[in-house]
Amino acid sequence: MQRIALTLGALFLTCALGAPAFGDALDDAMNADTPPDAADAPAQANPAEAKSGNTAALSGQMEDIKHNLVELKRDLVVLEEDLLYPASSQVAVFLSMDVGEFFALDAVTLKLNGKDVTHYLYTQKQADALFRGGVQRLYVGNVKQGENQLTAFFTGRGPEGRDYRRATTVTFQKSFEPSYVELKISDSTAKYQPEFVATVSP
Amino acid sequence: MKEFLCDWILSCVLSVQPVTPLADLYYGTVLYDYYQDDYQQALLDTLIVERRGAVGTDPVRLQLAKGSFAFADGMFAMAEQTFASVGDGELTPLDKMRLSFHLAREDFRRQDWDGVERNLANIDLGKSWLGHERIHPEVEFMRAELATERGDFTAAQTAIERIDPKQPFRAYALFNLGVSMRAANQLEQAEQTFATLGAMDVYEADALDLKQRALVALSLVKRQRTEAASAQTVLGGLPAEGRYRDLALTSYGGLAMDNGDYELAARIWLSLKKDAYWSESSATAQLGFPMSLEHMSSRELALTNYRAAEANFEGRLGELQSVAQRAEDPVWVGGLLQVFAQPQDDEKTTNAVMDEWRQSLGHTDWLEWLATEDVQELLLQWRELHSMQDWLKGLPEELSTFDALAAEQRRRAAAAREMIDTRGLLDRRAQVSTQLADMHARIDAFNHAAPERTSAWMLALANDDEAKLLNDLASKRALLMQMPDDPARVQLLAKIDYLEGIAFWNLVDESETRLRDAEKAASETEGLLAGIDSKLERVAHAEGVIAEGVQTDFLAFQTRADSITAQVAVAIADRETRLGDQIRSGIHREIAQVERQLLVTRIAIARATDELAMERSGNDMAGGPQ
Repeated sequence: MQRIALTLGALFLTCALGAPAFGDALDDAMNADTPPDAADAPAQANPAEAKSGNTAALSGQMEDIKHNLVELKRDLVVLEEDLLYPASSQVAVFLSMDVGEFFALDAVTLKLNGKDVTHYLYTQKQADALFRGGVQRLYVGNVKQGENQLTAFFTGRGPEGRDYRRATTVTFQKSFEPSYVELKISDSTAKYQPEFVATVSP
Repeated sequence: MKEFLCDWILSCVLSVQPVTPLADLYYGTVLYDYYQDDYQQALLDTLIVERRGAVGTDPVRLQLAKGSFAFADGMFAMAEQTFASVGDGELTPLDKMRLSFHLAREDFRRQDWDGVERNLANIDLGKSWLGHERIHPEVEFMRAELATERGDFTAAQTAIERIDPKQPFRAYALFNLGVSMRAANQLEQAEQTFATLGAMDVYEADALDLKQRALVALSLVKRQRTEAASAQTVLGGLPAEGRYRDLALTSYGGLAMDNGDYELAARIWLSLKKDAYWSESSATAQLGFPMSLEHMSSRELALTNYRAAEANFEGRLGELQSVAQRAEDPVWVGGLLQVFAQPQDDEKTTNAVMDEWRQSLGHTDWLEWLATEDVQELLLQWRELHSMQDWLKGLPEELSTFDALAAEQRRRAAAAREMIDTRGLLDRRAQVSTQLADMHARIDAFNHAAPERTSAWMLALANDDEAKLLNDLASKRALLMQMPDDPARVQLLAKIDYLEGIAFWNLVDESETRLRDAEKAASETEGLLAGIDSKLERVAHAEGVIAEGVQTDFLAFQTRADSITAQVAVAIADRETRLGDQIRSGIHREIAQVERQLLVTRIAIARATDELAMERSGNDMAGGPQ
C-alpha cells in the first residue's frame, strides 16, 4: 500500500506539473506557456531578432513613427540652431582625444572672454567614447564679431595617476562665417605628458 | 644631445597642429553618440550633418554610419534603404567589407541564412603587421550562428573560439550552440558546451544571465543523461539569489525527490514556500512539500500541509478571479501599465506606483503575466511611444518660443533696416568721408608747400584760436587800408605785421607737430569710418540673414507634429489593447494552472485521508483486544 501511495503521489504531483515525471517539470516549465525561454530557447545577442509576421507589422508601424519623428527632430534642431546661433555670431567648440594614454579626463571648463560658459564632467562611458575617436561638441554659443578669447581648463589624472590640471588659451577673430574651435588632447611620447592644443577655423 | 635634438625637432613637428576639417569633426560627434550606445542621438546627428551639407569628402563613410545607426535603433527599412543607396562603384575594399557586415546583420535579423553566408564570405579583415589575424567579434558570432543553424557544430565551435572571451557574443554563441546540440540529441556535446559557458568568467550583465541560464540548462542535460547527482551539484552552485533562483530551486527539489532524498527536497520546498510572493515555483512547492513529508512517513503532517496548500490555492484562485473581473476594464489595465510608463531614472515614482499595485495585487508575481518575449517587445514599444508622446506634448510650447524668437529677430531686422534707411547712417557715413577727404587734402597741401607767410598757409595750420586771431588781424589790416595814410596807420600796420609775424613763426615752429596731429586725426577718422562701414555691413548682413530665416513655417511644423502625435496615439491604443489581452490571457493561464493544482491537491487530500484512516484502523485492529 505504501508503494501504491507513493506512486499515486508521484502521479498527482506529475499531473500538477503537467509533465510525465517530476524531474521533467523543469523542462515543462521552460516551454512557451510558462516562464520564457530560460534554457531551451536560443538567446538573442542582437536586439534585432527575427520577428513573427504580427510583430513585424508592429515594428513597421513603430519604424514609420520613429522615422517621421527623427526627421521632425532634425528639422527642429536645425531651426533652433539657426535661430539661437546665427552664423555671424556662432562659435562651436569641439573636444577630441588622440590616444590619451597619459591623461584620464574628468572635467573640462570653458571660459569665453573671461566668462565661464560651460563646465562638463565626464562619465567613464563618455571618456571612453572620446578615447575611441568620438568628438564631443562641447559648446555652441554666440560671440561678438572681432577678437575673442577662449580658455579651456582640463582636469583629470595625468601620468602615474596624479591629479592633473592644465589650461590652453586661443584667441580668434570672429567673422560672418561660423567659427569652430577644436580642443585636442593628445600624448607627447617624447615628454611622456599629455598635450592640450586648441585650433581655430576659419 | 641627440635626445634633446629629437625632442626639440619632435616638439617642432607637434607644434604644427593640422586643423581638422569640420566634416570630420561632425563625423566624430556621431561616433561619440554611437560609442555611448546612444543610437537615436547618433542617427539624429547624422541626419543633421546631412541636412547641413557637412558630409565632407567621404560621403560613403557617413552613409554606412547612418545605416548602422538606423539598424541599431531598430529602423531596419531605413537601414536597408541607406545601404542600398551606396553604389558599388563608390566603395573602397574596406567600405565593401563594412557594407557586407551591415547587410549580414540585416540578413541575420531576418534569419536569411543564405544572405548571411553570402555577405560574411565577403569579409576578410586580413592580418595585422605582427601576423595576427584580425577578428571582429560580431562577425565571428554570426559565423558561429550560421554554422549552428546549418548543423555544422564543429565550424560553430571554431568560430566561437575566435571570439574574445570578454565579449558577450561568445556567451550568446555558446549558449545557442548548446541549445542546438541538445535539440539534435547530441547531449554529451551540449553538456560540454553548457559547462564551458558555465565556467566562463563573464563581465557583462547579459553574459552573467546567460551563464546562469547555461547552468540551469546543464542541469537539465545532465538529468537527461541520468547524471542526477551531478545535476544537483550544478544547481547547488547557482547563486542563492538571481533571476533563475526559483527555477533552479524547483529543479533542485525535483532532483532530490528523484534521488529519494526527501529530507533535502522538503527543505527546498519549504524554502520556496516561505517566499512572500506567489510564483509557479512556490505553487509547485505547496504540493512538493507535503509529498516529501509523505515519503518521510509524516502522513498526518503531510495531510495538514496538503490542506494548507488547498487553502492557499483557493485563496490564490479567488484573488485571480477577482483580478480577472477587474482586468476587463481597460482603465484598470491602463493603470497597471503605468508601472512600466515611469521614466527609468525616476526610481521614486516607479517604486510608488509599484507599491500601489503590490498592495492591490500582491508582490510582483503579476509581472509574470507580461513576461513572455513578444510581450516584452510590446512593452518596450509602448514605453517608447509614451516617451515620444511626452516629447510631442512639449513641442507646441517649444515652437511658440521659437516663433517668438523669430518674431523678435524680425523686429531686430526691421530695426536694422530702419537704422540704415531712416536714421541717416549712410548720410553720417558720407559726412565723415567728406571730412576725411578734407583732412587728407590739407595734409597733402602741407607736405607739398614750403612755409610762407600767407593767410592760406597759416590758416591751414592754425587752430581755432589762432585762426580767429589771424582773421581778426586780416580784417583790421583791411580796415586800416581804407583809412588815410598817416603815422598812426603806419604804426598800427606795423603792429599787425609784428603780431602776424609772431603767429607765422609759431606756426612754422609747430608745423611738424601740427602735421603729425593732423595725420593722427585723419587716421582716427579713417578708423571711425571703417567702424561705420563694418557696422553697416553687419547690420545689412544680419538683416539679410534674419529676413531669410523668418521664412520658417511654424504652422507646417505643428501640422507635422500633430500628424505624428495622432500616429503615436493610435499606436499606443493598439499596444494597450494587445497588452490588455496579454494580461488577461496571463491571468486565465494562471487560473487554469491553479485550478489544476487545486484539483490535484484535493485528490491528494482525499487519498491521504483515506490512507490515514486505513492506517489508523489497521493500528486499532493491531492494538485491539486479542
